[in-house]
Amino acid sequence: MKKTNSAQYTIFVLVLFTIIVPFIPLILWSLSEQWFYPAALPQKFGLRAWNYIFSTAGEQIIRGLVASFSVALTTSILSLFIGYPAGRALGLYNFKGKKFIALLLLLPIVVPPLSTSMGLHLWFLHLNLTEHFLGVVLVHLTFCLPYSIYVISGVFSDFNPDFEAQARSLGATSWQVFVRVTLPMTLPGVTVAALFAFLLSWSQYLSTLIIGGGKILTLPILLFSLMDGGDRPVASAISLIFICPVFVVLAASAQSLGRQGLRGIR
Amino acid sequence: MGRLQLNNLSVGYGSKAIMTALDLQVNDGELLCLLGPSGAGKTTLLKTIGGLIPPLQGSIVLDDMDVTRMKADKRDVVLLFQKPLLFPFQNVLENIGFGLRMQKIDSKAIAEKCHKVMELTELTPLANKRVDELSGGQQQRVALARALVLEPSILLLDEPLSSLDPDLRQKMQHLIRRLQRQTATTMLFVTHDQSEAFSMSDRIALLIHGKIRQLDRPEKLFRSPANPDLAIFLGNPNIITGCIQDKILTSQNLSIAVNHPNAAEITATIRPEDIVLSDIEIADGIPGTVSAKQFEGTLTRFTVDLGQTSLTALCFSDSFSLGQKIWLQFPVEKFHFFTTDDQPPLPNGQ
Repeated sequence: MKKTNSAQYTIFVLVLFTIIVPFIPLILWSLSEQWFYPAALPQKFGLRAWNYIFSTAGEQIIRGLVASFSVALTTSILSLFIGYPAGRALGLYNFKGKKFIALLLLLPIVVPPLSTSMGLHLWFLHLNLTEHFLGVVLVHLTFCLPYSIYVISGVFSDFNPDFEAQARSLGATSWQVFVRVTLPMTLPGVTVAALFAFLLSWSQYLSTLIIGGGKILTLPILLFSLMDGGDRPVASAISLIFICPVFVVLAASAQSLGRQGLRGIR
Repeated sequence: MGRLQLNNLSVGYGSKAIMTALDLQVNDGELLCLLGPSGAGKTTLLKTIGGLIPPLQGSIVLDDMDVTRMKADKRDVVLLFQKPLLFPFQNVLENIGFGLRMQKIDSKAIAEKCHKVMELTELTPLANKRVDELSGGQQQRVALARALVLEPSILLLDEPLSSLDPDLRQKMQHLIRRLQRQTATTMLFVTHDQSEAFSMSDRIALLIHGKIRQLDRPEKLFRSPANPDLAIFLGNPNIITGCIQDKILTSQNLSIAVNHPNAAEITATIRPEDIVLSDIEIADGIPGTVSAKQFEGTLTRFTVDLGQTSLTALCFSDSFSLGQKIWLQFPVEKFHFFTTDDQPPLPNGQ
């Protein structure tokens, strides 16, 4: 008993360690004023980077946060609206060409994002969608949608549609069936799908740069331009800010997922 | 009130009909069993009556109202599925109240109705349990309560007991029968289990190959099947064809005393359990040899070779052995005769 406990503890510490390790240099860099090779720790600590972020570049970074957040949120909402019915169809029904469509959905993931984005850029130019919020959301959707559809179709392939028939027979209208039965029973999967879409969109750089053309300044774009500038402490501080919302989203959904689990989906 | 009438109903999916030209009437307050082999389309029929699948043809009339095109949620019919299908994110009480909440009834009335039905189904102590904490029988009881609380005109039951153990199954059969009498709910019960059908129903409709072959009280159906095929379906393989002269039925080398007027060609049957076997010679007994023996618990099944034919007998005693010479006796009142021009009876005939 004691042995398993200590083994579990060791594994837990190791997992925690691997998660935290990449962040240690980030935290150190963001707090350093002077750090030259080969010193293990910065020679001089200070809050210059954080000062810069919150005062000089504060406005720019907040705009970046807002841009990232609105793009990611719109993308994840849209991918749910499209992915839910598509995932249901793929997971629940058998129809002609189902396998082909499933394969087709993989294409944007399999083909290098650079090629996809470059190709789409030409089309978006014709459609006046470049350097536009909508264009960026659309190009993010091409990468997020396959994931959402796959996650949701997985949920529906385990879903027994007789639950819906039973609710109908008990006097629920189609809308009531969706809100009171289908949605609650598929909610864990929907949450995961939304999360995937949000996080994928949140960390898009290349496609945002190509389609947004530097007009849509999401956080990754800012981050790269600062890293280009060679200011390591500031880039590290922004990286940390960039990660924060991800943790918030993850923690919130992990809690709701842990509570709901995949209970009731059989 | 709950009177259901199916007129010339065809059911199926898309263009593929599973059952055609079905006529059936379920009377108010009765429990009618649809008995038929698995895969005969019984579930599809119930889903059609419940409004979950549109019928291909014909009409469904409920209490003198044509509901053929009415949506499932508006129909005063509840379908109980084979699986309990309890909503996993709700506890027992919430599950039972589901249908009432959909109707947006005031919550006090809902609670009152739920508690009444929980008392009837003996679920009161489980009210706040999560549904995954319940046993299979309890889950099916909750499903039953969830349907009954809506007081439907007619309750459709799709083999709801088929996944339960025999012991529990019998208890549930009694419970359903008791609730059906107490609430006077009209029920249409579908099953492939003959003993279930016989023990529960007011009437049984025998459904074979997409047609209702006979509709009768259980005793009548069991004792007087309409034709030899139905007799075989009901577990009676003893079909004897021959002629009757002076109250003697002659068939090949068999001569059996019967109580029936003369007939040139007639088919008779006697149930296996009605044949009396004896290992000592009896008057009017017909000799034969045991060609197969199958111990079935309470009864033992013997196949007796009578020369050109063989008959099956069910006996309390298992003392006869293979190859043994025994005598068979046929009580005259146990014979059932089919007339030669046997047509399936009118489905609505009593």
